[in-house]
Formats: sequence, C-alpha cells, structure tokens
Amino acid sequence: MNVSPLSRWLLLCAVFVAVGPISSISSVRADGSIGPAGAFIQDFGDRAINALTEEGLPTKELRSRFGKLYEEGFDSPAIGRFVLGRYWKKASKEERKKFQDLFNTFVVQTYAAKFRHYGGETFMVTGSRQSAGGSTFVISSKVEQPGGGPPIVLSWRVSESDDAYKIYDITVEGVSMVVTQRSEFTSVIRSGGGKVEALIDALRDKTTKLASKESEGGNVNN
Amino acid sequence: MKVSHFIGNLARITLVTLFVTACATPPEDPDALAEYEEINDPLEPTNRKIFALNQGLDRFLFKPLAQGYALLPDPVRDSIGGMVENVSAPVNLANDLLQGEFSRAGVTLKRFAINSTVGIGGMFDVASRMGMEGHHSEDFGQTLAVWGSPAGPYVVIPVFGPSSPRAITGKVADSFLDPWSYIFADEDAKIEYWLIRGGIEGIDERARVLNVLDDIEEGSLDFYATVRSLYRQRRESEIENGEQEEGMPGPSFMSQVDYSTSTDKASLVH
Repeated sequence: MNVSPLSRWLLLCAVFVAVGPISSISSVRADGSIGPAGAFIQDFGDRAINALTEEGLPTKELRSRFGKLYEEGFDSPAIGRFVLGRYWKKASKEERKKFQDLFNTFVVQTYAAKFRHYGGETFMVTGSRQSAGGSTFVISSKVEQPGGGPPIVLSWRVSESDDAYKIYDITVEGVSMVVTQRSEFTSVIRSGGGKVEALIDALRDKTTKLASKESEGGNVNN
Repeated sequence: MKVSHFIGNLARITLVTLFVTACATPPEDPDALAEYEEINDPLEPTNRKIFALNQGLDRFLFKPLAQGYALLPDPVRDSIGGMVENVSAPVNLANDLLQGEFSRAGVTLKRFAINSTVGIGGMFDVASRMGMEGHHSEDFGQTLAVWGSPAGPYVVIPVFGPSSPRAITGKVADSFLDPWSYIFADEDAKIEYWLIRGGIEGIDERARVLNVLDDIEEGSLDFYATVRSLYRQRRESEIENGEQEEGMPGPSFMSQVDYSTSTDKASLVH
C-alpha cells in the first residue's frame, strides 16, 4: 500500500476547502413571477401531459392529439427553416414546401412516440426570462416523475408576435431539440452530395415507415 | 492473463487505425468550410466505423446487460448507483475545487462524509434525506474546459463511445486524481478496479436511457450525427453545470436564431 500520495491529495483538498467559503458563489434565481409567457407554457404543458399520457391511448389518437398541440403552440415554419441550416437558402420553393410538409409529419410521428413511456408526471414552470430585445423568452420548467427520481429540467424558447406566443425550441437537460435536428438533417444532406432532395427522400422513406406503426399497439405507460 | 498488456495492445491498435485511415478533406467553399469547422469531425469516416462497431457491442452485450440490470428492484439499483457515486466523490471533489466551484465542493464533501459512514459506503443516500441533495459529476475534462481548453475534434472510441482529445486527457488525469487508484500498488489490480467500476457505471448509465435511446434511434435519419450532436450539447451543459437552464436566455442559441428580421425569421446568423 502506498499511502503517501493519498495523504498529499487529502491535504490538497483540505487547503481548498479551508479557502473555499470566502469566494463561494450563490446561484442566481429568477424572481417568483412567471409572467404571461410563463403562464402560456404552464397551461400548454398541463394540457399536453393530460392529453398525451392517457393510459392505453392508441398510436393514431396519440399522434392526432400531438399534431393539434404542435400546430397550435409551435412556430413550425420557423423551426423548419432553422433545421435546414444553410441549405434553406439553396432549396428551391418546391423543395421548401415538400420539406416543410414532410418535416411536420415527421415531428408528429417521432415526438408523439416519446410520450408512450410517460404517465403521472407533474409539470411546473419555475422561471421566465425575457431577451434584451423583448420579443423572445426563455421559460424554465421541471417535470416531476411519479416514481421519485430527479426531476427532468426543460426549458422553452418562446417568441411573441401579434399578441400570440409560439414555441420555437425545447431544451431537455441542456440538449436543444432544434439544434440536434439541424445537425442530423444537414448531415443527411451532406452525405447526399449537398442536395436537399436527399433529405426529402430520406424523410419520405422514414415517415412512410413510421406511418405503418399507426396500426400497432397503443400507449405503454410504465 | 496480463490485463495491462491487453489494454496496451488495444490502445495501440486503435491509434494505428485512427492514423492509417484517411481523414476527410476540408472543403473550399466558405459556407461549407464554416460548417466543416463547426462539426469538427475530421475523422468522420473512421469514427463512423467505430460507431457501427459500438452499436453492435451495444446490441449484443451492453443493452441486454442493461435490460437485465433494469429488472432489479428500484432500491437495489439505487444502492448500486449510490455506491458508484460515492466511489467517484473524491474525483468530483478535486474537480469542483480545481474549477473554483467551492459551494459545489462543499456539497460533494458533505455528501461523501455522510453517505460513506451513515450511508454504509453510499448504499443508502442518507445525505439527500437530510436535505443535502445536489449530486453532480465533474471530471478533469470539464475542468480543462473551464480553464479555457477547447474540446478538439470529435472522436469515437471503441467500447467507450463519443469523446474528444480533451475528454480523453481528462480521463487520464482523473485516474491520477483518484485516491483509490493509489491504494492498489499492483498495476493489474488497479486496472481491474477501473474495469469493474467502469463496467458498473456504464451499465447503470445505459439502463437509465433504455427507452430514450430506443426512441431517438427509431426517429433518426442519421443516428451517428444525432449522437454526435447530443454528446456535444450534453457535455457543454455539464461544463456550464446546467446553469444555462436557469440563467439568461441562452446567449449561444439566441445568437443563432435572428428573430428581428421578419423576412427570414429563423435565419442562421453565423
């Protein structure tokens, strides 16, 4: 046994801990009020959990409910543009239209599926921040799981236009949905020789494949 | 069998493979070049091969193990997770301190003291029941990031998966920061300790994301690119200690979406 490096290590820690409290940093908290944008997310989240985590919900009905919520609460044209990245500019009018339609179908199919494993969660908005310009907000929230365990931290990017709020991104534990989607889509375009058509083809295949799952089993809450 | 020899050979084979396989060549178009630099994955062809190998290993080995592990009763898994957390507390503590995160260091130290003793080596999370929550993991790769070192290119390592030169350097440094590794004088015993600990940690972590990863793969057009993006963003968030979540409207994100120009609502600024 070689203990001398161990004791040296402990000494090092002791020194740091002794110096510690002088510069201890307290985390900044948002004030209690969540504002109208926060209230919009609280309402939207509550409704989503109620509608999508119902036990035994058939896939078809789950997708239909998710589709309605997506159309109502999300800025899907802006999301579609963002996830195409620099290729949006290169895409023709037809390609853009085809892509947007397929992308909306794809979002409904893939994101609705994620609710299969949930049930009994509670959703709470914990804070709201407004950007310097004033038209965008970041709403922080958490989802408490029924079996205990650490809450899932979600943050919502919301824009305000014409007195309506629209969500343009959700970040789950630091992972942005639109940034992830953009990396994937641009990668598909690159391996397809820089053609947007390659992504459109891949999306068409995927959505056709996923559509056939509609007849399969329902919601499997666990 | 000399475990150290086996590991040494594996590392040698990996390095040779990495250098022999051709790298992707940088494009000339400025837009494409900017994108190439943002992706920062010059070893992509090799990385994809290793990723495919890892997916095979996952399908036939790690995932089934994790599925078996997930069948254990919750309290048993909590105890195993707790012991793993407790064993890694000294490294967390060292890195909290090296990053100047003294209040987090205090949390780590208090949790370690209470859970090691009253909690019997971490089997019971007594500290959380006493109101001392806030387990987090810090490694030397994160410390290097806080000190200003860039991650470097994306690298996929056989068995271990997504990484970067910074994260690999961090792992090596962590092994020196780990007091447990000084307790084993003999090289093989030390490596066995790392293998067993790493194995349990890996299976525990894999079991937590069984459903999540299945869903992501099912809805994915290019699973490799998705995992690369997920890995980078998770890592970034860990480095910032998740403060982006509670803090100001994500500056890094806002700079990418320009909502002020109504003509191209979600135009990419950079």
